[in-house]
Amino acid sequence: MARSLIAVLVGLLCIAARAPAQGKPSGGRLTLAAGAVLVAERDEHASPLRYDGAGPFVRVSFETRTEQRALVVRLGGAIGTLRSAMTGADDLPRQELTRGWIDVEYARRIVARGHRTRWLLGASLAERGTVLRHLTVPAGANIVGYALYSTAIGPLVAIEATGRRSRLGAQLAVPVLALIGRPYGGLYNELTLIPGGLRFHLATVDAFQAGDVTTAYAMELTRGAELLLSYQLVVERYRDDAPLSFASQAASLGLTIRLGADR
Amino acid sequence: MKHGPAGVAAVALLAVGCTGVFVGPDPKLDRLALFEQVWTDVDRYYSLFSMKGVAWDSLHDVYAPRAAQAASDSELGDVIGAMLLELHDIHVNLAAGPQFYRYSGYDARPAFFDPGVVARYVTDRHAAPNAHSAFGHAAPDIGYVWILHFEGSGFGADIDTALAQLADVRALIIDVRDNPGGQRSNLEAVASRFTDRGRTYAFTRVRDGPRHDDLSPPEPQVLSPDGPRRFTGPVAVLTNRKSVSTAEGFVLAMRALPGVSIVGDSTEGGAGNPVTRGRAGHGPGSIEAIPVRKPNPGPKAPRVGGRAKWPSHFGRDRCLCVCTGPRPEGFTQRCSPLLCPVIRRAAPPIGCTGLTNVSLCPPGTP
Repeated sequence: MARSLIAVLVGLLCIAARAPAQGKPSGGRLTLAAGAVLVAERDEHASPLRYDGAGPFVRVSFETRTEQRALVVRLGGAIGTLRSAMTGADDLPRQELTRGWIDVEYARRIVARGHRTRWLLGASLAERGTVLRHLTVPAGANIVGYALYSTAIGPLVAIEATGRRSRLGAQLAVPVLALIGRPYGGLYNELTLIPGGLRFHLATVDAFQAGDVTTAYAMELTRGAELLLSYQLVVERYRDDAPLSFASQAASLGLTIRLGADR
Repeated sequence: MKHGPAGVAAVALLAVGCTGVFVGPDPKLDRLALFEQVWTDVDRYYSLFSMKGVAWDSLHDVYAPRAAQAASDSELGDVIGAMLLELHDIHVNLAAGPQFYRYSGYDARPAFFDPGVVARYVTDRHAAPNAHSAFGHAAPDIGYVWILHFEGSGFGADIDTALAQLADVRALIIDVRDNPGGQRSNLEAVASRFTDRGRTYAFTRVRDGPRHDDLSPPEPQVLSPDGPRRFTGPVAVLTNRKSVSTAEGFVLAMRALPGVSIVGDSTEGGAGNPVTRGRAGHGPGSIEAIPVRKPNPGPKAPRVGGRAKWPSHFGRDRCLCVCTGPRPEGFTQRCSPLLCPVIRRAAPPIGCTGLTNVSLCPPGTP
């Protein structure tokens, strides 16, 4: 199954890359965004309970577009504090979340309805790392860090509608193959670094199910700058003897600077 | 397009309350399912089944029927607590509502520790700056350092102060009896003042798979010299059954050093790192938390004479022998009177083959 999925992905990438660039050559757009993220997760290595919480995040992205294709690279990081139904007045137990990600997306126009709306199909490569620092007692000796690392690849479909001075887009990415790193009993604890590292292995959709839905609205402020409002939902599930579920919703406000020919 | 921002905001607002939906609610378990979850957790993560010779599957067969018959959460707590006590591990506890289940098998054994004896012989006792330890003279040329615990910070400063104040002594007694442990960095801060070079004093192994013998390769724990002053004279480390956890790591570190003797009863046998597990309950008073022993370790003693030796203080049927190594110079010719009451009162604990070298104290020494 993994081989056929790889073949499909390679095919998608080839189709996306095959056509020569059409339309005007593009410069780039650099966006700095910040916002809040809501997180819910259950990592059964850490606890059978669900932990929920919120925190801030920042994201830097660079994108280059023509009428035919789009390439986007995003780097982001979030922190947050998560609590369970068991968390007491002393704020224990709780989890301190640190999450970082790099997304690379490439998509090519497949359908154009008029010249203001277009559908794109492509592939997404998402590298994500999450560390949950699990605090249970005040003394600190029991603090354990649990982790999930994934590099996932899969198809992406997007729709964009362009107005005179604005752009509205939505996209869905669904990984079908992932390299997963997940330590068995945690990545570290306060007393001892746990050897063995992340223990990488490949996972198909049988074991790793994920989805990434993003909507964004960009409004031109000046000729060289845009205001970007975006929302992103990420869901990840890793099936294991001790399964892991993760969901986040992020809303952000960003400033986009147009570079080069995109101005 | 003019409704674009409103659309994005609406999607975000609609979804705000739904994050948890994608993860699902906490499981609602009946009592037997709760028992199974606890049993499975320990089965997955506890690291010392093989070393302790515990047949965990058999314990399931014994306790599951009792859990099925439990008529209340309190009764279920009694069943699970009793099952966990079979591990004979002070780091395996169960908090079930107001009830707390903890292995206390060693509590009834003699502590061989009377602070009154210390007070009688160490008349110039001072507290170290951070109050983690106290020090004084057990004899004009024998210093005494009592380390109360290994929690907090400032242990390096404390031992430096003690060594500076005891600069006139020829030999040193370090007392970790009744020491409940703390953080590993603190034991290393103290022990580093007694080594002249880097020394491997223990190995840790981590439970890293579902089988009981899935353990990571041994990871060396290295002690390096530190501090402005190092004591290289004879040292006796006093232990008892209530030297626990990090205090046992300290004993491991000190026994790797030349000129150090371990004197006293076997330590508790709880040197692994604990980890706490939350537990889904199903009603008021239900089981809330179960700390299980860290998927971590068992320190392994450094190789001695080319032969790997497990620390003798690990596990209920092993114990740390008293003075089984070379006779501690400095105490053979003139024994510290502080040691004698300890050793005279010590009786071989069950299964212990130690306490053989009690010739430290000349006959008739008070």
